[in-house]
Amino acid sequence: MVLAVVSCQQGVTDLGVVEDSSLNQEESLGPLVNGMARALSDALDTIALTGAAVSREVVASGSQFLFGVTPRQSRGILDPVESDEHWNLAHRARWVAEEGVRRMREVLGGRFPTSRLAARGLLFAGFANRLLGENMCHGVVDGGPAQPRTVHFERSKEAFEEAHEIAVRIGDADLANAALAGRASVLASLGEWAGARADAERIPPGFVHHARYHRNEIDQYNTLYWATAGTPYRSISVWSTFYEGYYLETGDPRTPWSRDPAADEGPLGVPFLRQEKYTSRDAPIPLVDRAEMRLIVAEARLRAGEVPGALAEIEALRAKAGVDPWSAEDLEGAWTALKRERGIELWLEGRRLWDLHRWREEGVPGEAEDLAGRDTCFPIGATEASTNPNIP
Amino acid sequence: MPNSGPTPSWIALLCAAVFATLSLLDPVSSVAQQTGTIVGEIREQGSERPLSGVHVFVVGTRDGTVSDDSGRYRIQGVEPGDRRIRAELLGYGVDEALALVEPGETARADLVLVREYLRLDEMIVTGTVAGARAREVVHSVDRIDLDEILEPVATLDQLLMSRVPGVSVQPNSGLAGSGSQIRLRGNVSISLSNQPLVYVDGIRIRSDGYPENLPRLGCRCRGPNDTPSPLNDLNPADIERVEIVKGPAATTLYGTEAASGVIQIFTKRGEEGPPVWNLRIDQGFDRVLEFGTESKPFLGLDPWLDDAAWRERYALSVTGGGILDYHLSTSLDRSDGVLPNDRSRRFVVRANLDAEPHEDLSIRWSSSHAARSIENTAAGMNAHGLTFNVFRGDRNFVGGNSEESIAPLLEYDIGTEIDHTLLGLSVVHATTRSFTNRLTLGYDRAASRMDQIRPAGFVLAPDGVLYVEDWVNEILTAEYVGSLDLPLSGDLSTTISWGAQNVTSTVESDAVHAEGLPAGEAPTPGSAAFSHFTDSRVRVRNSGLFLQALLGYRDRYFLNGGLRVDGSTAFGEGLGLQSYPRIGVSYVLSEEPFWGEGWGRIKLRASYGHAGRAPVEVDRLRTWAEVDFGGDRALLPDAIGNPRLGPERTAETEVGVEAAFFDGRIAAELNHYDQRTTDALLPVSPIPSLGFQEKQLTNVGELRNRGVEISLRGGLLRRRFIDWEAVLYLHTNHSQVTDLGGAAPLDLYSGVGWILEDEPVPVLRGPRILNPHEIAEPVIEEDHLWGPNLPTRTVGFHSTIQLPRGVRFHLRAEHVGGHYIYDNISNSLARREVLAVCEDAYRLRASGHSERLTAWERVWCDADRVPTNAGPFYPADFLRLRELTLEVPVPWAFLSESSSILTVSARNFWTWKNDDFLLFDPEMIGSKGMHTRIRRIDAHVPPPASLIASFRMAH
Repeated sequence: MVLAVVSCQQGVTDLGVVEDSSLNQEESLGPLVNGMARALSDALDTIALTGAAVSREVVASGSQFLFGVTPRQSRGILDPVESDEHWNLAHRARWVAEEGVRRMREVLGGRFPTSRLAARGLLFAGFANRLLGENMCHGVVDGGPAQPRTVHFERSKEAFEEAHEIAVRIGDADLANAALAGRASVLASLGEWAGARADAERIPPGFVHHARYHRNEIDQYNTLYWATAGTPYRSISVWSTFYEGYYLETGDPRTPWSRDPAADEGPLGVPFLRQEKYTSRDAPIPLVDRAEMRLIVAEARLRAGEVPGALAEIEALRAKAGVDPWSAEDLEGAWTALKRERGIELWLEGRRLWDLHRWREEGVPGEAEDLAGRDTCFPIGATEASTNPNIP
Repeated sequence: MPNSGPTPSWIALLCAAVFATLSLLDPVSSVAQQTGTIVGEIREQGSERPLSGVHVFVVGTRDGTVSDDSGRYRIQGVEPGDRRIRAELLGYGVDEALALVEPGETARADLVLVREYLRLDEMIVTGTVAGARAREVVHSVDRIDLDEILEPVATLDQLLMSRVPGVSVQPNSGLAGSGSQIRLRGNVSISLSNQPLVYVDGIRIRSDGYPENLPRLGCRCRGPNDTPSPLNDLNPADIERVEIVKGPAATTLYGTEAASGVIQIFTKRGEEGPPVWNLRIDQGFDRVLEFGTESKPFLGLDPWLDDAAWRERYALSVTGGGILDYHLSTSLDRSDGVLPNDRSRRFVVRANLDAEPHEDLSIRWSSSHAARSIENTAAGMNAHGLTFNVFRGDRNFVGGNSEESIAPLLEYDIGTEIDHTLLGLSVVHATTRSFTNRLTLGYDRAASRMDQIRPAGFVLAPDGVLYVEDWVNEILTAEYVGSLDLPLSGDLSTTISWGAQNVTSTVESDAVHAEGLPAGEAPTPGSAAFSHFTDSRVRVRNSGLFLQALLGYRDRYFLNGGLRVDGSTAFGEGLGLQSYPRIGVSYVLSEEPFWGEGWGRIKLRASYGHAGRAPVEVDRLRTWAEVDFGGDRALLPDAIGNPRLGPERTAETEVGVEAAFFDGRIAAELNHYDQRTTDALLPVSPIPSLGFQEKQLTNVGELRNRGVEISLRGGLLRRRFIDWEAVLYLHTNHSQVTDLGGAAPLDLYSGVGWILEDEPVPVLRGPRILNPHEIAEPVIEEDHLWGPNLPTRTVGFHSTIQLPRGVRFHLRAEHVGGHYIYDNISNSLARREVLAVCEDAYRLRASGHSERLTAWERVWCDADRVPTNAGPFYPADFLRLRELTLEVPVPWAFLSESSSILTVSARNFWTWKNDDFLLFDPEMIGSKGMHTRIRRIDAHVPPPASLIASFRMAH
């Protein structure tokens, strides 16, 4: 008997998925860059939330899982299993951006050096690599072996440089400033303070470049807001942090928090002091801004021994915020002022863990949150460790 | 939410019209004077009990009928002369009697049937191509005959639960409309559904649960956290019998989808004769039994539970025939539900019509429509729901457990409207006596419209949230089967059967999620501040050819060989066709010449066969997901793709013995099965730093699944005034992951439910306190392997006692055990220090007497020490009194040609649980309802007990 089977290939008509092979065309590049933006935003607010609790910008007060801080994380322990999501999201953000840029070079050919999309893609590659460098203990690229985390700062620097060139070429000042400011921040992280200062000095007043969040679905929300909004989670609280007392004393608009009479306590029984920096589901998170640039200049000057100059930079920021200057006199006081001011200015932006880590490693003077016995970076995620053959 | 059910008026009209015209079809009204009538009574030998539902007919004619509940029958219009009357009833030997029929006169013929448990000449359909006699069947087939069930069954889940060995029906919760997971011989798949295939009158219907009523955005927990089952859209009163085949040794010919077994449902058909009307009225209530501690028997839920939730059911059918045989029925079920927002309503109509336009040709039409309306209370691990907040007491999300705090949660409205239509047409053509052809066309449409509203101002979502999803699964079946009998020589016979089958399943869903609702009535997505639409459509087509040869020698040696070859749109491009072979033998030992007269009857059989489970198509492709980002289209890496994707393949070896002893009064069946699944699909993680991070299904694993099924059935006492029959069965199931194929150990749920090499499928793993009852510091074994999550043994016991005047008493009990369950909700409660079993311990700690606590209490009654999402684990063994039923005929009721029966039945009112089973109930599955893969206890109420009185009347 002859057996024959007719099998018609009429499977998927609309699954909301697109085959990889169909993306090598110009129409796909816009959505690919939008994907880079989303991947970076997803990674940033997840890392910012956990990082905030580990670096004592806030304390855990509620949900331990959904939009929350796990008990281990709140004790300052970052383990591979609980860091898996952070690792994966950050690596997805990098891969999507770098792979997208590669695809753009192929699809656009000679038009790549003058493409605004290309500049945006490179910018995302820069910020995604910065996020990895600042938060992950080890650098890993495309399934390769573990390397020093500076590999990500180097890639970031390169991406920002190319983005800057394109942005200048097409006359897009906003993109050019974002690339320059991004490079300033990674040069500082690489210890290249002169270069960092030079870039930072070029950023005009009022400049800010954000990671975006949206109200369309929960995955696009600003998690730091949502975890503390009128939701059941109330995951984090400002209670017992430096910022609790600081805001009470100064009313500094950069570190606002409030009490909610309807929810006086978080589900963990901790007084619930709600952060008010982000007040909507689509509140953007700054990636780089003019104030950070001034603090890079201040830190560069401090490192060059220019204490009064450094303090002047800091006090200018405080005056602008309408708060009293720090009463710092010596080098140690100046470092304390710098550390505090960076904490205030970059509060809940996912940057504190790196600052505290690098200052501790370098042994610079001055007071800041004490992270003794706490982790200051995320380890290689459990999935990466178990699937990547180059990681023993 | 609309309160009225979705009963389309055209159905009601159609129904009324059909019922009204029935009397016109009554063939008896045209009886000529030249014929006579035969009446009589049919009783069971020994007990002298009248037997209802017996097919009685005049041999060699189409004159016949079915006996009524008092065992009486009447055949009118019989040609005069010496007539032979034959009576047949499933489970009984045949009896014949002679009657002399005179024109215009009434002759009498009483018959006596002998109960027989091993029926070697009964027709079996499932697992064979064109039907076969039981003696020819090489695999085990379980049957459930509705005639034998006393209990007023309301759903198919109830009908299948603890009736036969190897069939596990696991309910989930006390929510209205909650459907059960059905497992035949355990799990054969890790990643795909283990729900068996279900056919109704040869038509494939959806057997997997309906989707969850769950908004696409936000926590994947905002809903009732339970699922209805499409199988419960059937009206059990329409079912005549169910055949169940449990593994690939029997299901090979069903091909790529059949590795988890096949359940075939046969609905009632018309019979030539006057219309017989059946009316059934059930009234009763459901009640959740205590599931907490002595001081908090319902863990604080008492004020919100209905302790006698009303349930009622009305079913009417008419069966008869002439030129056209018909079974028409309608039923209405209503239930109040034990939770405050719960309610359900089901309306079912069915029309089965059979005709024989020519003696070689028969046409069977089956159609049914069910309209169900289910309203649910938000439950499960849902922070906006009733149960989770109540169980969390003063540490909940609404500021406490007072009625004023909890009541606003009930503004959360959740509704599901189900429309389920089933149409089937089967045409059988007997080209010659030995050559038949059958064509079957079927259409199953299971549609669910899910909606839920948290109105503007809702306590935990003040902006208001609306979600509406229209979901439809359509399954088209087309099947051709041919069968040819070839008598080769005197002793040798051959039947060759062949066929082709095409099953196309399409699932479509359109959903809208809206937030920022206007205050007031009936918000719509259009009036919301923000709305988000999603839609999807997936189609899978499986096509196959099959061939079977049955060789018989001396009507006692049988060899059965078969092959199915399948193609599927789900297979990877490089994979091609898949073939599934089968071979089996059957041997009726007791018909050997040397077999002694009093040695009983024995049939031996063995079968080996393959069957598969297909993935969904998209798994083979490398894809990017189209997602939204602030209203713009964005692309993110989705699946890395697997071009070699293929079906899972399960091979089963089954050997069995069927025997009857002591004049057929005791029957025994023994099966041993051994299933090995290769190419098991496991989700394998790609390397995250390479971008694609979704796990990719890959055919790498190997599983094994084996056990025995033993059943004993017999008449223990058979006297004129008392007849006692009992059934005892045992089923074991031991599963094991034999090879992960290099895939990482797989965490199926929250770090506690695992797929680990050499362990059961799945196994629970988590910390165990080695000295739980000691007043001491706990000694903890981390990562203890607790054991299987699915039962390893089931023992069932049924007993029916028949007393004079047709009074019957039935008891059914079941023990299920060997498995473990994870108490997810208690973990959450322990982390908030509101665990009811810790009340004393909390007091001792508060008064500074922590040193008096047991090791168990020191861990579980201290939030700082509770292992996060890891326990408590309970041994889930239980013994449950499934059913106590009393049936009493009511002879005085109404008309002379009627019979009436009153039944009172109590379900699940008594349970024994293991001492270490602290809270809730072992028969719970978890928040994903029928789709749950690790059975656990979530914030649900257990399935309720029920007490039902049922009145049945036949006319």
